[in-house]
Amino acid sequence: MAASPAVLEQLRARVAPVALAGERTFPAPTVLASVLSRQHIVRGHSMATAGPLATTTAAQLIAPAVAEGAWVCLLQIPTIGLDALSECGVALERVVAVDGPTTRWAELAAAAVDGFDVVLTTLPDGLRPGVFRRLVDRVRRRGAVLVVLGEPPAGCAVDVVVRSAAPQWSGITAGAGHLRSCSVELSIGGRRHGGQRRQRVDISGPARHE
Amino acid sequence: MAGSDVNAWTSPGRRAMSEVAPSRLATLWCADWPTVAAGCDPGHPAAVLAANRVVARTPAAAEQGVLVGQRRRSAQQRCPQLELIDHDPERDARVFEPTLRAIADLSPRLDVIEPGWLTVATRGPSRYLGGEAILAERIVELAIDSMRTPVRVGVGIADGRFASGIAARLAITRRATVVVDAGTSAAFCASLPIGWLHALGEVDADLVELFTRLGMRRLGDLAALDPVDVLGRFGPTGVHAHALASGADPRPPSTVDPDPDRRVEHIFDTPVERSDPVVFVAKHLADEMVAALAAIGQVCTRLVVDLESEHGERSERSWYRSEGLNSAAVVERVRWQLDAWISLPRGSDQALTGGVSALRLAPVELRADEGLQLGLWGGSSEADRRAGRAIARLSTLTSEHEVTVPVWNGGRLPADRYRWVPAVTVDLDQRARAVSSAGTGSGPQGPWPGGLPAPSPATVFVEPLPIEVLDDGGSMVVVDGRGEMSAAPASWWELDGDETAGWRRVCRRLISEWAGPWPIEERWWEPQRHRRLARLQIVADDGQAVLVAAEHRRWWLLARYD
Repeated sequence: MAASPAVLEQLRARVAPVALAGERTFPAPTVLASVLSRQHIVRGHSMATAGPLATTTAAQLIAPAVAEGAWVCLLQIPTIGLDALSECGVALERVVAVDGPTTRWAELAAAAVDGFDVVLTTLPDGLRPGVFRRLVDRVRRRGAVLVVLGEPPAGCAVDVVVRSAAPQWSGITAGAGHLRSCSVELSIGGRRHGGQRRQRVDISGPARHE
Repeated sequence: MAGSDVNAWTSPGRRAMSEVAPSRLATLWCADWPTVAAGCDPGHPAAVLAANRVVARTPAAAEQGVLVGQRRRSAQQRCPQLELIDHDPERDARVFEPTLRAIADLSPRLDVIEPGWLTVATRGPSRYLGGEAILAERIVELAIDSMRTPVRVGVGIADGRFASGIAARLAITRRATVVVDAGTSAAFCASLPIGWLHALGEVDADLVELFTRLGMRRLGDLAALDPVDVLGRFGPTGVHAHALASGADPRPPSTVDPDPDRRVEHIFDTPVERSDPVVFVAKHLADEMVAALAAIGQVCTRLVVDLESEHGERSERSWYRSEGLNSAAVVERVRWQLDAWISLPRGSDQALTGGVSALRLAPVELRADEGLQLGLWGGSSEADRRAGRAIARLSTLTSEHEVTVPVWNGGRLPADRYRWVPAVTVDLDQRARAVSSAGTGSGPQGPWPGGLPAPSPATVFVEPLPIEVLDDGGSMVVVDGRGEMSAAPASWWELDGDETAGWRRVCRRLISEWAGPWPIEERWWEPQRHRRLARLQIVADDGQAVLVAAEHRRWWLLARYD
């Protein structure tokens, strides 16, 4: 058996016991470690990813938590690419998608937050800020992590926003090659993050988790 | 492990000897009930699928080699014109209700094991009608009269559930009822193949395969072994199989009625007209009941569900499950019963005319809980169990079809690679196996040559969006049959509109880099599903990367790398 250390590492991550209720954090993805001010993702935080690589950023963000045994609910995002999630390190056996009418988004989100450790969603048009604030409260009480795709509208404040900008793709030139990797400028904002940090990181491709 | 298994370890032999004689039971079994419930013509090849596997098929499909348990793809290979129907247990239960009612008139001691399969205690009715053979004929008559479509119905009478279950299935192939005389069940079973143990859901396929590999091809071979040896080699499951093969009922109905305190009920303050609230209440009651039983190391195998309406109509039904009813199974049975009750025709006896006012669950038969063997890799964690509950709750909030989990499907286009199946139909403990190929299938060495290498697009459009890809001169780029492009793409337009009203150009993007085209030709052997298209990766001047495809001289936006 020629199992590479990387594979063993991955296996170890997959069979590792779930974090106890006392450890109220999920590990941070190494890709984003240089950008996040904390070296972990705090349970109970609501987050958002914005910019041209919002979906990939979100996938990277949740991957270590899923590797630890957390379940992910994809709430009303039927367009998500599962291969991309898998490449970022999200274990697809713990992914559940929930559709349903957008008018019932808040109700479904509340139920999802109760049962799943990570909820990935987009905010429906015309969402009332009050409704969103109640959901954010619920996320905090439950110790889940809410990740919203796209810039949250005014009034819907989240704890952490990861914004991507100026993507540069490599591996593709005038008819030859194929997309290989993408580097993007990430910056962190949101009310739980003091100073703005800005850093260029290589975001796509298989994640490397410690 | 608790209860009876402790005895089993100390003196399995004595336990088998001191067993009470199993009761005489008649089993009614309808062949391939799900296809009948779906209204399939037996002469037309059709199959009912759950989680991509055949659960039932019509006789015509069986003739062409479609097997129960087969994957959809191989079933279609055997029989290309096979009609595929989604499995709907509620439909099965609903259609079975008239038959149930007809037979309940004959004998009130009736247990439903699943839709299309029930058992009746024969003692009373056979005396009344004048013999077991007459009783069997009568059940066949009642069953056939109550069904609108022709159904292959088998009735068998024997000692114990296992033997009578086999007798009923044999009755279908023999086209006559099968009555096994009292005390001869062991002899009846001895010559039968050992696979029946799995066919009746008593032990899993792995153990049956192991028995076969060890040379035990008939139930008699297993019964001939000393139970002590069987226990030593195969553990309690083996003893269970051994007892069944010897014609004994290893889980005899308890002679002592369970404590009435174990019954749980809920009286609705205001009668409810919709089924959702009743199912929710059933969930709570079931959790309460199962937890209370678990606390004393027991599990319920036979449960009476009693529903009452504000106008006094009642629906009472007894459900049996040999491996024990957990709370999800209880809720499922309440839902089946409620659904069947609601869809009773107006004017029939006990038809529901008002809201449901009371729900009672009474465990009638208990046995010691033998526990659950957890998987090697730690089994389920707290997060898994919580997710299971959340799935159940979300399924009741929306519908079961809107709470889904991905299953690896395979394909060259991003949208083909996974299918979504309702989460409630999937055994979540088995999930790792169902999607594990995804982890290896996405790389260039994966099992789908022709798929694009990683990274994969993070947004995949369920319906591709129409676009127009133009060259420098502003004319449409065309990919010919050999996969050559007419010119290098320079820009693309996003389109809006539809086929009949015509397309409008909405938004223009400039192309900075591109790669391709990579042609695919899929299913050229099937005229209807034949596809020929060429894919192209494009990076716009603002850094946005997309995957587009040309098909029939039209361009489509398939996915976005965001």
